[in-house]
Amino acid sequence: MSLLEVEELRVRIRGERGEVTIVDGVDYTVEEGQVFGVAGESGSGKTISVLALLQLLPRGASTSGRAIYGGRDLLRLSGRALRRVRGRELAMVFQDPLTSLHPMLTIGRQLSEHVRVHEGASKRAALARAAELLAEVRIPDPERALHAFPHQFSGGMRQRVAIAGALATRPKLLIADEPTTALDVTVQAGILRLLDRLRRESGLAVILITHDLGVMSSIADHVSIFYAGRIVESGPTKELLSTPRHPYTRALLDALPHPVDDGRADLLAIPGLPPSPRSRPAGCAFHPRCAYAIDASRVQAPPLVTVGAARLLACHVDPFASPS
Amino acid sequence: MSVPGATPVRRFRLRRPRVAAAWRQPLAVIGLSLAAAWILVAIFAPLLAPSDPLEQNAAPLLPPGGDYLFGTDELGRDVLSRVLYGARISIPLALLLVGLALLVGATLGAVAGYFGGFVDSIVMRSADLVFAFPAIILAMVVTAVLGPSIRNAVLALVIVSWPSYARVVRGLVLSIGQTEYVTATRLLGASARRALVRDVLPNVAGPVLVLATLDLGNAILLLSALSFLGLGAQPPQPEWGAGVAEGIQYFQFWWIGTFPGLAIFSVVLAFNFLGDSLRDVLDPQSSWRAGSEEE
Amino acid sequence: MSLVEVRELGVVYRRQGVDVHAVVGASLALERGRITGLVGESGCGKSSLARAIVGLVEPAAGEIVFDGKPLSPLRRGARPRHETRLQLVFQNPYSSLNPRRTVGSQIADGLRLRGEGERTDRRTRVGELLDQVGLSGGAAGRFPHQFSGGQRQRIAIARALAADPSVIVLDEPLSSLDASTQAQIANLLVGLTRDLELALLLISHDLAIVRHIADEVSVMYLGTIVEEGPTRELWSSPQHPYTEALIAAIPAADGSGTLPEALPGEVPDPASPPSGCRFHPRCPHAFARCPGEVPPLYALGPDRAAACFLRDPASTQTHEHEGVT
Repeated sequence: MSLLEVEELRVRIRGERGEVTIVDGVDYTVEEGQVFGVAGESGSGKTISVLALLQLLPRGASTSGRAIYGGRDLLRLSGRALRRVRGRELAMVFQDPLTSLHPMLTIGRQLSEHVRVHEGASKRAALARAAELLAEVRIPDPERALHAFPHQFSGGMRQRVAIAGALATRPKLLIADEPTTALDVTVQAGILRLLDRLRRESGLAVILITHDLGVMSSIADHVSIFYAGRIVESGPTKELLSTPRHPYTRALLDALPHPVDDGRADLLAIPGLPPSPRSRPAGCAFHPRCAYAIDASRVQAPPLVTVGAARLLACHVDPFASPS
Repeated sequence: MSVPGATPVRRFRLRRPRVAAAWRQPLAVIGLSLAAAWILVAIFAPLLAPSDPLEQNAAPLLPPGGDYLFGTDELGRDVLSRVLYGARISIPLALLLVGLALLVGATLGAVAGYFGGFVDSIVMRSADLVFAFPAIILAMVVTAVLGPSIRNAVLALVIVSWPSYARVVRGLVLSIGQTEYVTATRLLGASARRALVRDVLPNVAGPVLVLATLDLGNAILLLSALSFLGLGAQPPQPEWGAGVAEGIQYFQFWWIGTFPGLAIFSVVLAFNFLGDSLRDVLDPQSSWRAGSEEE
Repeated sequence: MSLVEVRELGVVYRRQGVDVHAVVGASLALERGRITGLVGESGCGKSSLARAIVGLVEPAAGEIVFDGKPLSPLRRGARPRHETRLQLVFQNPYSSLNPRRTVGSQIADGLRLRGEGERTDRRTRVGELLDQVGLSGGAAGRFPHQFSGGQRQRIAIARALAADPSVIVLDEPLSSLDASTQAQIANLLVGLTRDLELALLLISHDLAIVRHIADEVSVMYLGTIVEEGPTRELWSSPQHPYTEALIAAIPAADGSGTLPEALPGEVPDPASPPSGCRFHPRCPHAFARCPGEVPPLYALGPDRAAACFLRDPASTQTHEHEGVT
């Protein structure tokens, strides 16, 4: 059985000008120990679709669909059951680690408190566990780091500390929302290696939300590409990035500067802009920017269908179908 | 030179569709109608008032009702007429006083923010000096020295109220002066003064307007307080604060003081509501404006 | 002669009473019709360098020569007119446009301040400039908040173009944009450079985009330029260990599943830089000489240089042009 099964997830947010559908029917499953990538540009609904799982949506948001985790529907949990799952089994790290670290408390105090609340350990045992956690995320000199405050660390180290905090309760699933976007590349590489090691060593599943397909390529096992609130394509990372089937995925890859490729071709920009959730085009939301759109694309949204082993595609045309 | 703290002020704008949204706020509607009503009363007092506010044409101390809706005072003057005429004193004076304070304060603040250094220190230390005393005490001292009269009361209140404008304007000039769009204008070849006029001051206008509206209520209150203490309007002027003071002397005849008091209360409330809603209208972060028309 | 020559530039600012040397002895030359990339991670001084080059910061050492004349730092008065041909585009198109003025009026500033044309001529010219950056003329009457991030960055570029610039310095112009928009703006910049014979200095932490559009690249680390060269050569055979580490750290979106290489440690505080070669505490090749001496930029053939003792021609340690490892 899968760790998490999301079905028909929809999120609407009531705004000043009426209800806006941010996430428009999304299905996916996350397996144990898997790094599940959620990719898309801003406004694609990728972050909201994941925050919905933890019921961390802004006021005025309504959710429908199901998200089955451990036999329960996360979207229906409330009160104590919700807190249990949210704090203990699903943990989260954000783009800015300072959002989850208290500025006035020492790292040791913050980490040990997590441990004490969730495991009922003694103060001393909790501190020892905190030091272990810091060692696990490769903070140099963990004993000394326990006595330090968040501002005494650099951006990359803070993100490591935030990850240590998320791991304190031994979660089964870590949700990482753009965890390396604010970091320099050399530091980002370190965090990616850390996430990769955690996944290998402790079977931690990770939902990795990022707009950076390079990051995706390096650690995700499976990628879902979001566009205008829907998944337009998903599949194993390697296959999806080397043989993209959806025109949007392909265009996105063509628009990316490649770090090693030689020769100096212009980047192939995608014409137009990603639609705002307020004014999504009818039919396939990508059709106004798509060179392959046909009449059906303008009228009817293509369903997400299986197009090969573990690969799903939502395109009426499928212009890059393999000949086999 | 971009300062993170500078961002909240950067998106002030006055645009018609935003103002229309104010109607969704009941307090804005109440504030606006009350303030408008009082301004109309001030303009048309001679037409609205049943009698001359100074004329002692009735029996003294008549209770409300009958020919005299608000009763008459100890000299037989119509309280209703005195309250209506009172608007002709308080509201224009408050406008004048806030206008002067704004002019002085905003100019000094802009100068301080623009030149910085020595000029800035002088201006801001004087502002601090004024802030160090409670406004009403300082105003009392000033009027006591200059001699009690309504003109001197206004003068005293200008002296106590300019510093808040100076502070706000200086702060905005400093923070907006460091924004990237001002830097960009400078790089296009604008002098600092030109950038101040074209890019900085228009962005200062919104917050200062809000402050001034909120301050109007305050000004009316202080003006009435000075008159109440006998330092402002002198008898027989139908000033509200003075009316309340008279009412205190004839405590058992409640109507003499209560009606001028209610007038002060409603005007102050009106301008406070108005100022608050104006702030919401001009503040892009306010929730009921969320979601601007991105393309 | 180069359009802009930066010679041994030093930028110092005070932070909590301590002098921070943000830029130390940096030299650069910008040529007409060419894009020079300046890459480095946060805290490397690239933004300080950008601000100094356009005259927003007074250099503590060295000089900047623009079009044959030394550049004067910006004071209260208007910039000398010839210096307005040196423009800057900022990273964040949300804070670099005045929210209360129409797009057209902000672009027209550049024309007005040059004393160009009558009102109607200016209006036509604003339309042309908007067209040049791929926006419709109708944009002129609207306010910045009515545009998306990418469109605003186009507007900011149009405003810079209004000053009829010969040089544009762009400080991270792409980093706040989505991938698809990023490519649009990158292509626009390349087109403008070729069409208008501009000299562009593109400052970015994103090496991949710089590799795509820059002709030459300088790599900066902690206030100093550690390597420079033509883009392709620098990429194929980096001569400084830092450059090599930077390139290895970029994850490629090729689905290969290879993890990028991490560099140990982080960029030190520029207020207290390491002795000798500033990169030595993180360098996998550091040896005895590195903590004690500051390596000069060793010339390595035409247009190429690296500040690393491994490249010292006088040293026995030299590994001739074969890459660091």
